[in-house]
Amino acid sequence: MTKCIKNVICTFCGTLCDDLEVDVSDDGKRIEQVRNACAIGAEKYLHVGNPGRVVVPRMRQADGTYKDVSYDEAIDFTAKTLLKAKKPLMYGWSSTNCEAIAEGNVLAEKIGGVVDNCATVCHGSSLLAIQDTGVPSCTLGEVKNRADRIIFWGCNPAHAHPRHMSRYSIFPRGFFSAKGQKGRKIICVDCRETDTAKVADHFVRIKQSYDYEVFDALRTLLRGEEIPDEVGGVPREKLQELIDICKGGRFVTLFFGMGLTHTLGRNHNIDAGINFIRDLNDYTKATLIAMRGHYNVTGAGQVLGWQYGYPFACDLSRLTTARHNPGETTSVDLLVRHEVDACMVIASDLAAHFPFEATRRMAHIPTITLDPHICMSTELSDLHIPVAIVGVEVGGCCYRMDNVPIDTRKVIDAPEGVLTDEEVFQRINKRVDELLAEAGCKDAAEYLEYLEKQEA
Amino acid sequence: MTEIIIKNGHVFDSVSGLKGEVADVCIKDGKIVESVGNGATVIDAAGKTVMAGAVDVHTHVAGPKVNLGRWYRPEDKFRLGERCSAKMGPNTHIEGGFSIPTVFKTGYEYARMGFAFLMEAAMPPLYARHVHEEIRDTPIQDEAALPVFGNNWFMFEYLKNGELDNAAAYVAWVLRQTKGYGIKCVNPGGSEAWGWGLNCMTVNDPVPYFEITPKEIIDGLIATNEHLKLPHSVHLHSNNLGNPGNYTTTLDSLKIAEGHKANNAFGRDTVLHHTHLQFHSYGGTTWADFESKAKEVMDYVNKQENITIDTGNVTLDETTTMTADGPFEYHLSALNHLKWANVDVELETAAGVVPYIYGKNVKVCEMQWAIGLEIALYAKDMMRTMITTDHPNAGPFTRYPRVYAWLMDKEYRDAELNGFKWSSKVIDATTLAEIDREISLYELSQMTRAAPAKVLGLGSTFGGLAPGMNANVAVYDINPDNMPKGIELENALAKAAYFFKDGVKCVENGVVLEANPVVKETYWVDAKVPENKQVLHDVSEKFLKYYSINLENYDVAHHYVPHPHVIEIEEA
Amino acid sequence: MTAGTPSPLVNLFEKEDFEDWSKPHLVGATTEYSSLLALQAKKEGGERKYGNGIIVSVVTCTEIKQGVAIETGKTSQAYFDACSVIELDDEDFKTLGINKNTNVRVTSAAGTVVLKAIGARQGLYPGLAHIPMGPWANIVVPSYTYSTGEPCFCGFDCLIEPAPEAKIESAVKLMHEKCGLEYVGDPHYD
Repeated sequence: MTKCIKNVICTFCGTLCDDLEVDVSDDGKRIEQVRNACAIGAEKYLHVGNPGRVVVPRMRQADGTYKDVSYDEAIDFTAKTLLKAKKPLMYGWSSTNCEAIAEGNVLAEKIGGVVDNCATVCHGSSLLAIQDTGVPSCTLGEVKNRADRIIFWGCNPAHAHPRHMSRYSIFPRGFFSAKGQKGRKIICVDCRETDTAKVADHFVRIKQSYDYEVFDALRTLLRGEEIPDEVGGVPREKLQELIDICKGGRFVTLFFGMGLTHTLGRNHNIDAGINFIRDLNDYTKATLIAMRGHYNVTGAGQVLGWQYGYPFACDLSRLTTARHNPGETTSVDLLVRHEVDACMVIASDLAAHFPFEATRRMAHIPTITLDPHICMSTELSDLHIPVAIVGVEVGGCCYRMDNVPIDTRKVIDAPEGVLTDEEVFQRINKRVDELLAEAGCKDAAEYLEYLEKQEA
Repeated sequence: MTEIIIKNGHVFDSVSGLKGEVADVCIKDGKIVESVGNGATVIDAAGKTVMAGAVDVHTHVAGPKVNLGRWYRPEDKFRLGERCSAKMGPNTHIEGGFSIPTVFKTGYEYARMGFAFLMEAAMPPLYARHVHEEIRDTPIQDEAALPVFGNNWFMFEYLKNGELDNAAAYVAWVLRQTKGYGIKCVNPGGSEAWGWGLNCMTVNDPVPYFEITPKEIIDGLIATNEHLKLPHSVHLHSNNLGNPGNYTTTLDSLKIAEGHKANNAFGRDTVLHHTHLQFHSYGGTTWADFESKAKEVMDYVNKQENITIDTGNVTLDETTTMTADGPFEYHLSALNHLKWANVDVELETAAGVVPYIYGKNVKVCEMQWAIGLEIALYAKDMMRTMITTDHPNAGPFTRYPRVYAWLMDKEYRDAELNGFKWSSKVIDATTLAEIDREISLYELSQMTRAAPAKVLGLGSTFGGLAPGMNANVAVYDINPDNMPKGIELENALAKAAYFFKDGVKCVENGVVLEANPVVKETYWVDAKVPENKQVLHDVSEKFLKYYSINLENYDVAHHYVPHPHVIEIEEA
Repeated sequence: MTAGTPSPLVNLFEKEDFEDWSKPHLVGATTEYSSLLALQAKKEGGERKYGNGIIVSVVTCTEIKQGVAIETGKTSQAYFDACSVIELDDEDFKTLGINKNTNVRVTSAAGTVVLKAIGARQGLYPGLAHIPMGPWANIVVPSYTYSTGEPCFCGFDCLIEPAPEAKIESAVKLMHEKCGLEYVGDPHYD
């Protein structure tokens, strides 16, 4: 007999689908079947039971091999490493729940670390643009109920957010959009003819890295001014057609992704996009939504925002003040410039997704990785602490790409003895308190002095 | 069993009827008691002012738009001369931000001023989890949040069809789902119209498609509120906020209360709370002939006894405006050209955020400042008039002491008024210069304690120092026999000599000692209604068809509210 | 420390011997950097061919195959198959003079990696190539961030040269070797 758990929240991408059905074995230990999920989501749930799951922390030894250690040892090692470091980087946070993030951020304040999440290499540019120029946005349900013009720019939901198009943007029938896809005009702007472009009514291929120019041209046309015959590889007539389509709509939504944030111009591309949407509001209703990647990268920013005031790249290493200076306190820059002397990777894979030069630095400083699975980061770390999988083995709050919080569900038990991210952070926090008390230090700065004295 | 006696202070408390008489306040196990034993800790309050912990009836301190403000305004953390990012004590967290402080700073700053309870004034139901996460992480004060209903599709339908039972059942359901406290209504109908880039400017403008008017919405919400016997009245931000000549819309909105009578078991005798009245008391037709209509509006408020108001005082700071009035924020950003953020929420509401600089040499801002003060000074019934800054819209809550001092010291406010660039124009277009009234400490204790507690239906536990009430006590270094003036008064009100939250001393000499021992509670209302199949059916249908999340994932689970204080109301 | 022998990496706390900071440091630079700048000049002259290779602009993006493979495991064959490739336009195969599914050496300002050149899964144009996000792509992604924190994942120039005999390394081994660490394998996946 299996039991079916409904309304399960898929913890893979920022779409955070909440309608999965998961069949679980009677003893609540195995997942038998997953329904409603995309290919990635299904794989996420089904591979949980694959053999080879790491269930105890692993410490790298002098010869490069790993040996299993207890959680107590792992937590002691982590606490001491973080306290010993002058400026440790605590990067990741995007694939865990907000409860763990809140606990982890408080640890960072205590030991004087830099907190940064995956936005730093995903939508960090978007956040910078929002800081510069604001963001007219809406929830995904608004898009479903009202939007009759959808623009995908530099994003590819067919691959990165597989159910986005069917749940929110292209196909669904909503309150004012009873015709579904037939009532909508879909525009896709990209340098590649992606699979998303193939389902769009209009595909506009622009030359790689010409996004800013094209946005600018659109804004110019919207104001009725002249533009050159061709901008970024797109003929003027095509751009004018886009403007006419947008102005003719009742509700326009622009979705944008890495194609804008990773390319030349970075935040300036987004800035231009936001202002294009803002300008469109003089003619019709227009909104935009960032296609956030990891399922809780948004939540990582939310928690950091309400605790310390910034969405990412928050430097707490001075212990008395929080700093945010993208380009300086962002992970890649910190690693490449050798400004951090220890690294903790939490629920994200730094080594697989950072430029190699940053990864190389991470591999050469003491690194601790919290991850349920073996990944590139765990293999370059001194310590791998396995944890329960959020959304599968433990619940907790996560934020969708439109900042809507959803409480994820636990569907099966974690392997015996495996802790959750939150528990690990609670225990590290406790251990740090103990170490400070033992040394008679009031904070991490005093502890560094204490360590220096000990050595002398 | 901890016992504390606060000895020989001048106590101002309308609940126990003390108007500055020297008296002792006794605390035992987190409650006010008649007397304590000899072993009690003695706090010497001789020559000091003692009041109950303050209650903020309307503030935006937690939730999606507040955090969006924090996200997109790093500059809010870089102001020189303000405590904008600093660790103030060994046992407190780093505090950041000015107009939109972090949760830690919010709790600490309110505690320094002696606040015990905060009402988060606008919670989009879909984002309720976010609001509760922030409330959970805010130290010290008890809090509650008001879900918004003024642009809700369910309510449009029920109210248009006059289905009061269904409206009540739906509101009760939402309060349970979101762990909400009462009915908030922001720009009724206007924020839904904003879904198409439109607005409702008067109480008679029909909402596009739904064909219901703001007047019908407000009227229906009041009826629903009293039908459910909720502790708080309907909490209204009316249409046409911030525009010259809007006072007529305000009066039209207030008049809707005339046919209603309060019905509840919480000692509340009013049916409508109009918030940040300053933004709604403008005359003229353009910003050029813009003038104060505070007197006209307050004349009506004074005679209409079943309504309450709060002021929304402009503090003349650079701040961050945020409201569920989506169209207003769009127009504001068109006026000041600062960064515009907007979030429309499916089936429920909208919201916008725009930074705003209330400049001391901008005529409109100077006028707004004067109008806010006029409203408080024209009030006849201080139990129906509360002081707010609509934090952070008219100014950050950390400026409350300055607003109090302006109201309590004519010289202080006149110095400000006469120092303005446009002071003669402001004096012409308002009546502030002619008003000699100074608010007394006793009146202050009503406006900031007893009155908000009463209108929230919390009059038996908050806002007073009678035995049995929560032991929230603020002691200020103010000797009523030798009243400090101006900036000294402001400083004394900003830094409580002592503040006890539920009998725990958490502030001494304006310094937050430690927040952790205080157990903060989240208040929410569980109103019982008969099972309503129609509403349950409507809910499941709308979730299936129009919401972007499933019904089963809408409920705010109990772990978001680790210390709930549930107010249960028996079936109507 | 209670956890046995300290790891060799931990010793680096005291000893900074990895890179000489007295040298001028061009972020993202390796030895090839200046020569690529020269190539850039040539490219703007209209000639993309260089030696037996070509210069292309590379973007690195997510893909559903890569997404599924991440969930299967980053040490899996599926992940290897999904990520250790470079997509080229058909024109570029002709210019390079190689068939599809031939290994190529990809060199950027940041580094060099061997990948399998495959036909475009999603439409490219001549001069635009795609590597799925992952460890292989990141060897050649320049780390320069223009003070935004965001490295150059999209739109950086690479030299593509045929390397039919060269071997594509597994992810973990590749990272270890490039980082200068000894690769000893791991019983968990080897």
